Amino acid sequence: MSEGKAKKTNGARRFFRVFFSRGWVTKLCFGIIVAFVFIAVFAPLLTPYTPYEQNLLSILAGPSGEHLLGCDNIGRDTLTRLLYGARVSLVTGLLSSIWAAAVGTTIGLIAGYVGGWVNTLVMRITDAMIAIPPIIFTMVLSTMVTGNLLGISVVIGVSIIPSYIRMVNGLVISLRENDYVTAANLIGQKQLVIMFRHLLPNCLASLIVTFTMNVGTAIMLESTLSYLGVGIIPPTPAWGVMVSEGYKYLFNQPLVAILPGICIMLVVIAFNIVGDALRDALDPRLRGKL
Amino acid sequence: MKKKVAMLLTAAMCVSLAACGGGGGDKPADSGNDAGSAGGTEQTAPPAESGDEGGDAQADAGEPVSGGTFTVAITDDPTTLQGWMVRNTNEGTVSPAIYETLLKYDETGKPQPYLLESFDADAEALTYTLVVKDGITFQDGTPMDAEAVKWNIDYYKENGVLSGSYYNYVDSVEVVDEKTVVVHMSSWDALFDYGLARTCFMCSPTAVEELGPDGFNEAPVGTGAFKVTKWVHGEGIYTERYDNYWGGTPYLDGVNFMIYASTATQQAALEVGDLDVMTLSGDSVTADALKAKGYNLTNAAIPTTGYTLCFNSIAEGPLTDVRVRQAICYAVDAETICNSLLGNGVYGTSTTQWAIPGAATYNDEVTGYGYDVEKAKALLAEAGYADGFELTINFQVGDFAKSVCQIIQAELQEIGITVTLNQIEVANYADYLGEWDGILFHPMGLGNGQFSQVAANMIPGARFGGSTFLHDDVSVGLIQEAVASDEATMDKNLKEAVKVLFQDNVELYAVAVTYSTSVTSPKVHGDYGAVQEHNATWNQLWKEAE
Repeated sequence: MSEGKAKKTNGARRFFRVFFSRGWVTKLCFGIIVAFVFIAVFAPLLTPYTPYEQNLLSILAGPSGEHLLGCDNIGRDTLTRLLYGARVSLVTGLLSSIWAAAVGTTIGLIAGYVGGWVNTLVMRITDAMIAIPPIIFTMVLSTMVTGNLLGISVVIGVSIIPSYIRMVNGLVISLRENDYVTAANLIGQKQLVIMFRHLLPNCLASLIVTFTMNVGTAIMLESTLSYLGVGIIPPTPAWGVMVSEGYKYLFNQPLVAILPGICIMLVVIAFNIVGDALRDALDPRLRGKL
Repeated sequence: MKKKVAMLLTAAMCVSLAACGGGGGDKPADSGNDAGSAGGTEQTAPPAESGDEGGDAQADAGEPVSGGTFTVAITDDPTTLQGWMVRNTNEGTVSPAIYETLLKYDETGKPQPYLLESFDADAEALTYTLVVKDGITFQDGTPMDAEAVKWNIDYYKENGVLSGSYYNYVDSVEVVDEKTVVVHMSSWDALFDYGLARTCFMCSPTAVEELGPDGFNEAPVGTGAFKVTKWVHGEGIYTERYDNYWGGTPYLDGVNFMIYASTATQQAALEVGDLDVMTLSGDSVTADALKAKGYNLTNAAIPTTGYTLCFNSIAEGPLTDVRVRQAICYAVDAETICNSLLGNGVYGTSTTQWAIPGAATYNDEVTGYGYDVEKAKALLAEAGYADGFELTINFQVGDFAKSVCQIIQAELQEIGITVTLNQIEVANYADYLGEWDGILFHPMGLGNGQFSQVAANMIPGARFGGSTFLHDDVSVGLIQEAVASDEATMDKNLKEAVKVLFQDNVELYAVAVTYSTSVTSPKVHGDYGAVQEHNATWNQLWKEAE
């Protein structure tokens, strides 16, 4: 085994050791995310129904052998809609976080490296965006798009871009003073090369952590928008839509509203705790147990 | 610290799951199956079972007692309490306690004199003669006499939110004596009494002139049994009894209208005793659950809402072809929708028009379009849309509308029509009333009956569907002649117009007609919402002492 490969293997081992050394909560949350992704990908194989199939004779039916978690207000299988809802949440969470990360990182990187009035302008705009509560920001923007996955993902992405800009910008301002950046400048490397080959990789650890946490935030935002009726539109099986439709029956058939609520809670908590664990694993100064 | 938080959240989750388990065994949907038969043969909804039980309870409750406060749920602040501007549900809930109308609908939906001794029509002379009852005063002590009636009709014609629909033909109002008013019409309007019964809440002219419209909005003065003491915006409206009420001093000290935004919060408030009445429409699950818990349920005799598919029949596209519109009707299983969502006819029913069988305005010749998917497919193929097409169904935010539209979306998918649902916020809904893409799933208010709605809305220039309905010569001619004629011709013509609109041209397709269901605490006695939603015999309502 070459020395480089051995170093990588040791690094990975150390990462996983630190990551899972935070106790059973981290392991449980990691398991929840794995299960969530598995369910989202294989939803059609896990249920005999489609999320749109209605049986008007089973409206708000309780759990039974036929419908393990009962049916909703127009006779659709609740379990099936929960499974497919995971798919909506995963796609929205990932899409919005990926595009926000791409845009936010680029802007933060360039502004931080260039500095001067460009940095000031970008950061003041970012501050202004951060000052607006994300839910209000996304509600306003969501009126401009149709309630499909792509549109909502773009809207949510816009609201989390500032978190990437601020994080990357802060890091780059500090990193650009390092000797290796000065050296790269002295040997005449192009600015873009310095930014994307030398500075960006040094931001990756923090980026991964921010990304993970933002997936949870995006899922929460999507659910909130859908609950409020300005996100994913029915009959798409989004968890927020399910809570919204089931809330009315909270006292008479609570499963319909509470189950998607629990799913949202579990997944968002899981992403946050795993994000925390990742931060510890990737930052040697922050090792510790939850 | 984080560990403790995580443990706490886990514990909360377990408690939630346990709570779910407890309720999961109930099958509220089943309870509707034994609730009774479909809509009655009269324009009177069969009373919900517990309504009868409530009646027994009331009989056993003994003599009425004075005192106590009656709390009614509203979902949001009314946008106005000016009588002439009242239109939406929350305003409609509050207003009948404060204001009264010259005429009031009876159980068959026909306007009858209420604040009037008599209401006489003379089509040849183009006049209506109104004689006011003796002894009626506004809550500020001023008399409700002929002058006040004239002032109100003039004011409504000038400023009323629905003046365009109901006061078009009022030419002038003449005060003959202290009690008598003659309304001169520019052209005969056989439905003028429906307009007066629906929209004309008598406001105190003195109060309006002294306070101005804005001041009057905060402290409205009518002839009703309760007068507003304060309106705390965002919280509710407080009233106290009007001791000089012409119908007799009310038993209750006051009626408060408090904001509970959702059905779930209203149910919770009702169950803990913070609320005395909540009103349900198109929600058989909650109604059945509350019935099982012993609350009194009363269906309004007059159907409340006609949920209708309104086709844009003139915009370029498949809907211009009547066969496509017919196909859509054949593909919608209205009967199953109503049976499933409306407790097998207890809380609403399927029908072919904006009236139910047996009602005076019902046209038996409108047979509608029964559920027949094959026929629907054949009609689509015949029209050249065998592969289907894309269609938008617009609907105003609301649980019942959302459920029905999702069911229709799935049903239309079966014949190849891909439906996109467009949910419209209440605040924006008015923008869609004139023109819409595809189909508007509209909750047509039926408080003033089928004839009045057809005559007011299905004519060129009407605010509703002005740019989307055909307004063909036949239906418009029938309506115009009906409005300007005697009662027999009006009846014949408007029934014929209904046939053209619902059956021949298929511009409208009634999916469901719902009744408003008042759910009252067992401690409350008297009529609330028995004839028309939110209307009560206010001075006779009473509440058992705590």
